[in-house]
Amino acid sequence: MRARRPAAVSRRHVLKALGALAAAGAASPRALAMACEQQQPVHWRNWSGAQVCLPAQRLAPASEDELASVLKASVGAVRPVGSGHSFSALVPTDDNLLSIAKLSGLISHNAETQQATFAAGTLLSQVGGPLEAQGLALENLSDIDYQSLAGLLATSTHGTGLRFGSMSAQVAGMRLVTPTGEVIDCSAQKEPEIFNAARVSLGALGVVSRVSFQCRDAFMLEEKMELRRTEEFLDDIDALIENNDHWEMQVLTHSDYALGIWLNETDKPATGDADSEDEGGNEFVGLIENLHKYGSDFPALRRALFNAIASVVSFDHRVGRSYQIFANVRNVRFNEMEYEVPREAGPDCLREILAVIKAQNLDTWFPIEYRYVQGDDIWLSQFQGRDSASISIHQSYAMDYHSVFKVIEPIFWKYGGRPHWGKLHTLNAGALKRLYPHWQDFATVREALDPAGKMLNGHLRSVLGA
Amino acid sequence: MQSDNPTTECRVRRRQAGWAAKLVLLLLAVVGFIAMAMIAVGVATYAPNGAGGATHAANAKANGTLQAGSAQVVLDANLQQTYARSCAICHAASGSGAPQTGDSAAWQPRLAVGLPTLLDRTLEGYKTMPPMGLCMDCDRDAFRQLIAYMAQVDASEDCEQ
Repeated sequence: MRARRPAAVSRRHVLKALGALAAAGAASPRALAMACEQQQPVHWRNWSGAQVCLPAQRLAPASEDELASVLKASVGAVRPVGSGHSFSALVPTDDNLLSIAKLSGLISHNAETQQATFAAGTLLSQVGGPLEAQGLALENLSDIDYQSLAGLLATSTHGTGLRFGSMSAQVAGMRLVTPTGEVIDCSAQKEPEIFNAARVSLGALGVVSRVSFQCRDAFMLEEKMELRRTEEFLDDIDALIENNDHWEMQVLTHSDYALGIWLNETDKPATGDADSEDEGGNEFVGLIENLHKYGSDFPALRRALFNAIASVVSFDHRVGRSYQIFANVRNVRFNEMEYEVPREAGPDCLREILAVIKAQNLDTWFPIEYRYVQGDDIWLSQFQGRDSASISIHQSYAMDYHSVFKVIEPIFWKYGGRPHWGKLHTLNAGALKRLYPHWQDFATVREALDPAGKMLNGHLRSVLGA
Repeated sequence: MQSDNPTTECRVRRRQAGWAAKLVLLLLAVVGFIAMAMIAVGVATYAPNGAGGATHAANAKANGTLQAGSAQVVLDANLQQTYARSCAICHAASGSGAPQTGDSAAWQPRLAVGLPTLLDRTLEGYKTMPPMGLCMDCDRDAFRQLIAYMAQVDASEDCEQ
């Protein structure tokens, strides 16, 4: 033992002397120590990785009182962040990045009015279970549930269903903490002007700390998925969206097919949890990616092969709790552009997009999501005043999106589209204010609540013209 | 063979010198590789307290490769909430593609790249792993502890070295 120990120590000294070598060997003990010891500043990145910033301060208040104090005391810009799932540059700031993650959970519920109040940092994935325990559910959800409540309301995030509005349309009341530290409760009856602005605010009025939803009885949903020719769906579109609670399709670019998804309320028993690989056609996504990888140089052959595969693929039905069926796991990251066009314009707009993708053999393989959303009366909601067809263009996070989005975006403009606030677009205030009749109403409330522009970053100054 | 052309002879000599230099470099490389292998083996088998004194986990850390499942890691209440809120959506959802909490076989290849790289991938995003793993208020230390919990490895001692 004694003879061995010095030799081993000696080797350790050699190892230490080879510091550079040790650093290069990423898994060495020295490197592990370095990883722990270096509390380097952490860059913030959004879900796709396309938005990045290095804030001077990262704040995470644990109570509404602390939130008010932090907002009042902070110097420079303050940008709130939920779960980082916005693709547009709503969050990046060099100054203060404020996470509301610690404001989380169900605060109260009222069985009589079926309203439930959550802390606004709660992730949507943490809402369904606590509501179900009270016999309640939200009537409609987005198709993923990674977002924070404050984040999804700030951007008018939505699901699908012509009889259902966006998540913001389900809000009965909110608590807003302004940049000066003032706490304001608002609803349709109390501070209605602020309520109309705060339900879709881009996080420009302050920080929403709690939100009350109008709920309904808990319910079950049945999901059916089926591949058909896209034109077949479009020819039958009115019946599909009027005769089903929730219908959407994932249009397979570079093919003639789309995956239709029907969700309807049911009394049937649950079929058990689905494997996440099968949710929302996730399993199919890998196949599509490979077709693009090996077949994009042969577009005609790829289309023929894709059509042949699509014509024989089938999916299982499933039944489950509403919040479990609405939400899908998205296990491939992407960047996204989405516009909402008037309901009647949806089919023609989609057809033109698909024609351009085919004609130019655009370098993209992600399906296009095509949904419908009921109109609402919220000032900056993309759905204000009109039922809308929602068309989402995705691009794998590992691929350049500019070259594809720049070709498709003008088509949306042609059909009077409004961009989703949380997704990529190139419009500024000059163009946006012509799309929103209540643009100036929102501006008036914003200037009253944040006269110093503390809640603005460069992106918000551009899109709001502030 | 001799050349009657001085220029050619000069080229041959230079070529021979070049080969000799390459041979020496090759030998040095081989020796260096063997030396590094010995060092690695030595470190891996080093037992500070004598034979039997090194635990499986200590050996694993000493040879530079953390072994998934080699420790029982418990999070404090705050980080447990963070885990439930941010990580569990994928790391406790089979089929998500993410290595599941406590699944040593799934974590071992991730740990093999080293904790620094794994931390970088957590912060910057890597394939299906979103940047910051849905935790916008986590710092590097929180991410390290969360990885240690999900992979059940003791990464904490390395911070005290």
